[in-house]
Amino acid sequence: MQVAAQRLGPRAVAAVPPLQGLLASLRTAGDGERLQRVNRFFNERIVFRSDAEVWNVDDHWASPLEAIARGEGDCEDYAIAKYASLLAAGVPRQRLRLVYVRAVLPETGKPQPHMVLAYHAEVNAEPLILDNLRPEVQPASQRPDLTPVFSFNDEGLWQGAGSAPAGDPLVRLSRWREVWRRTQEEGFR
Amino acid sequence: MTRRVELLIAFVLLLALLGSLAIHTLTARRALQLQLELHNRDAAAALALSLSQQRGDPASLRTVAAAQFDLGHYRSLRLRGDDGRALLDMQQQAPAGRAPAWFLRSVPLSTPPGVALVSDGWRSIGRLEVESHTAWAHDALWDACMRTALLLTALMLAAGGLAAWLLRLWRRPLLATVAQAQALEQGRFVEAELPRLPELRQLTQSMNTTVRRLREVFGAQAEQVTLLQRQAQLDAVTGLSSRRHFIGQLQQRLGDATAPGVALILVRVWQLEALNARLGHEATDRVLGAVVDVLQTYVERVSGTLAGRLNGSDFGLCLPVPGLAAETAASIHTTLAAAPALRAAGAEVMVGATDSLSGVAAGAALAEADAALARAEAGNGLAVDGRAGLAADPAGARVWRAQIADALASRRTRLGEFPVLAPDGGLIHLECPLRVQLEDGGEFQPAARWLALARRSRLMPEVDLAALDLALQAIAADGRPRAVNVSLASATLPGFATEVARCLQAVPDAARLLSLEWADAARPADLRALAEAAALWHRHGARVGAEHAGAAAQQLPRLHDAGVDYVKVDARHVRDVATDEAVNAYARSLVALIHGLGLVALAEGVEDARDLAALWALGFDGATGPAVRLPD
Repeated sequence: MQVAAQRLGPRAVAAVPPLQGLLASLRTAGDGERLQRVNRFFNERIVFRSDAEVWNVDDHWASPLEAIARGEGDCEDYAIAKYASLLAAGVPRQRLRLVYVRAVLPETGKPQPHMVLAYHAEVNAEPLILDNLRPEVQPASQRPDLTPVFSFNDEGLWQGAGSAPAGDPLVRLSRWREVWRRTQEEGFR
Repeated sequence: MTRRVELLIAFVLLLALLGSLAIHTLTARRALQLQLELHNRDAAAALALSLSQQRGDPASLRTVAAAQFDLGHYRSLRLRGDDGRALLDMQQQAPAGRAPAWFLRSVPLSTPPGVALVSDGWRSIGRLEVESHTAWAHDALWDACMRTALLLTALMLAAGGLAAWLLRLWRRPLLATVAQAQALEQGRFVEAELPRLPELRQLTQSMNTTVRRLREVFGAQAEQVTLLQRQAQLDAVTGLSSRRHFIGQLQQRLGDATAPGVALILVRVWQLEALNARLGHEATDRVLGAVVDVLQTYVERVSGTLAGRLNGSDFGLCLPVPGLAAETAASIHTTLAAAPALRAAGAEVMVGATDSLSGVAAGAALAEADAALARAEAGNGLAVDGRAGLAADPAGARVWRAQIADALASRRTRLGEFPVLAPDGGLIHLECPLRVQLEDGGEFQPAARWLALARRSRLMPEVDLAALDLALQAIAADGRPRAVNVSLASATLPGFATEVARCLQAVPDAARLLSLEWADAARPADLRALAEAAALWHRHGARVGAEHAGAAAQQLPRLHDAGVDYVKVDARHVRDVATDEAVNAYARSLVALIHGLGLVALAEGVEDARDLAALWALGFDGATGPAVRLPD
C-alpha cells in the first residue's frame, strides 16, 4: 500500500499509516464500529467535488488512495473507498452493496443520480447507509431523500489480483472493473 | 542423400503446419472465450438492472427474464434468492453446431457465467447468473480452423514444391561433383560442367582446378620418369641405347613369340684404343660419331630397329625382321669404309651379323654375332651367320595351323603354373601360360613355339578361350587364384569379351579368383576396346592386368583408364635392380607412378634373390620369376 501511495504523492503517503492503523484496529471490532470509523475517516479526508471539477472528465472512478491523494472526490469515490476499506477491515462481502440511488438534494430540491454504500446486517434487513451527503451512518428508513435503483458488489469479479491478468482487455472494459483492479493493486484485499 | 533431404523438408513443413494450426486455434479460442465472458457479464448486468425495477413482483420478474432469455442466445439463466432458493431457472439445450464432437472435446470453450445482483429498493432479491451458448462460438472456431488449415496446407504444398524444384536444381551438379570425386579417387581426371547455381559453381570450379592440378602433377611425374628412363637406357657419349638396355630389348624381342625373329649386327671400330692414342680424343669421337650416324639412319628408317653401344668400340644393331642381316651388314660395312671421318683417321670397322634369331637367350644371340664378328676380323671385315627360321616356310605354316587347331579341338592342352607372390610369401595368383601338345602323344610345347603361327592363322580367340577354360576348371578344383593371357587380337575382336563374360558367369565363384591380362598396348583404339572388355569382366568379379609394361611411363595413366587393376612391370626394368643405380631409380619411379594411379605393381622375370629383396624395398606388391618360388 505504501509503495502504491508513493506513486500518488505526499498526501497519499501521509494517509497510509493512519489508514493501515485504522484497518488493523478494526479487524477485531464489531461491524457497527467499523462502519462508523471508516465512514468518518473518508468523510474527513475527502472533500466533495464533482468529477468534472476534480478530474476534468464527466465521470471518473478513483481508487481510495487516488481520492485521498487528491483530497477531493465525488459520491462514487467515497463509496468505493469505504467499500474497499470495510472489506479489508473484515466485513463479509455479501453484507455490502454499492447502490445507485436517485437523490433529492435538500438545497435545490432537484433529483440527481448519486451513489451510496449500503450495509445489510442480515438478508432482507433494512440496510445502513454510508453517504457523503450526511456525515453520520443512518438506516435507510431515515433517508427518504434516496430512492435505490440498482445495487452491485464485486461478486463475480475476480477475487484477488492473482487470477486477473493485468493485460486482460476485459478487465479494463468497465469503469467498475478497472477501478476495482486498481484498488486491489493498492493493497485493499 | 536427396531422399533424406526430401523427407526432412516434408517433416519440417508438416511440423510447421501443425504448429501454426495449433497456435492459431488456441489464440482464436482465447479471444472467443473473452468475448463470451464479456457477453455473459453484460447480459447479466443489463438483465439484473431490468429485474431490479420490477419491485420484486414474481410475475414481472419472470416475464422480463423470459423476454430476455427467449430473444437472446443463452444456455441458462438462473436467479437465486439470498437464502439459496431458485427464483428463476431457465435452460435451453444447445442447438447442434457444425463442429464435430471430437473438436468440441479437444478444444473446449469454458467461460464463467456472468453474475449480477437483483434488488427491490433496499431489499436484496438475489443473485443472477447468465450463461451464453458456446455452440456458435465453437462453429466459428471450427470454421476458422478449417479455413486456416486449408490455407496453410496450400502454402505448405507450394513451399514443398519450391523446395523439391530447388533440390532437383542442386541434385545434378552435386551428383556430378560426387562422380568427379569418385573418379579422382580411382585416379581418373574428369572435369565437370559448370552449373548455374553460384554456390555449386564455386565448388565445381574448385574441383576442376584440383583435378587439373593433379593431372599436371601426374604429367610432370611421368615426364620425370621418362627422363630417368632415358638416363638409364642411353649411352651418355653416343646417345644410343646403353649395353644393358640394348641387351634387355634384344632379350624381349627374342622372347616375343609373336615376332617373326630378328637380325643382329655387331659393328666394331678396329683397335679403337690405339686409334685414340694415335689421333687423340677429338678424332676418335668423330669416328664414333660417323658410326652412330650410320646406325641411326637404320633406326630412323625402319621402325622397331634398335641401336646400342655395347662397349667402347662395339655397337649393336637389331633389325626387327629376319632375312636382312647380310644385306644390311654389307651396306654398313661399305658406307663406313667410305666415310670421310674414318678415311681421314685411317680407321677400320669390322661387321659381324647373324640372322633369323628367335626364342634364344640374348647372350646366345650376342655370342653368335660375336662369333661372326670374329670371323670378320679374321677375314675381310664382314661376316654373316645365317639360319633358317621356321616362320620362313609358308608350307610348314599350314601344317602348323592344322596341328594347333587339332590340338585345341581335341583338348591336348594344359597350363603352366608360375607363382606370383606378395612380399610376405602369400600367393597373388599363378601365371598360367597355355601349353599345346602339337603332336598327339608328343611334348607339350610353350607358346614360343606356336604362338606366332596361331596369331597369323587367326586362332588366337580359340587359344585364349582354351586357356581361360582350363584356368577356370583348375580354380574350381583347388581354389587357387590364377591369371591367363588374353591377346590383343582376341580382346579387340567383337564378341570376344562377351564370350569370356559368359564363361565367367557360368562359374561365378571361380571367376572371382581369375585374372585376365594382356600385353602393354599402345593404340588408343585398342585401349578403348580393352576398357569396355575390362568393365564387362569386372562385373563378374574377375581382375584385369597389363603385363610386360613399363617401357613408356606416360602410357601408364592410359592403362589405368583402360580399367586394369594391376601392372606387371617387364623383366628388363627390374633386372639388376639391386646393383644398377639407374635401374633402381627407374623402378622406384615406376612403382610410385603405379601406386599413384591406385594400381597394384608386380614385377616380372626376377632371377636374382638380391633383386627380389630390392624390389620389396622399393614397394612392389608382388613378383614372379625364377627367383620366386612357392614355399612347399
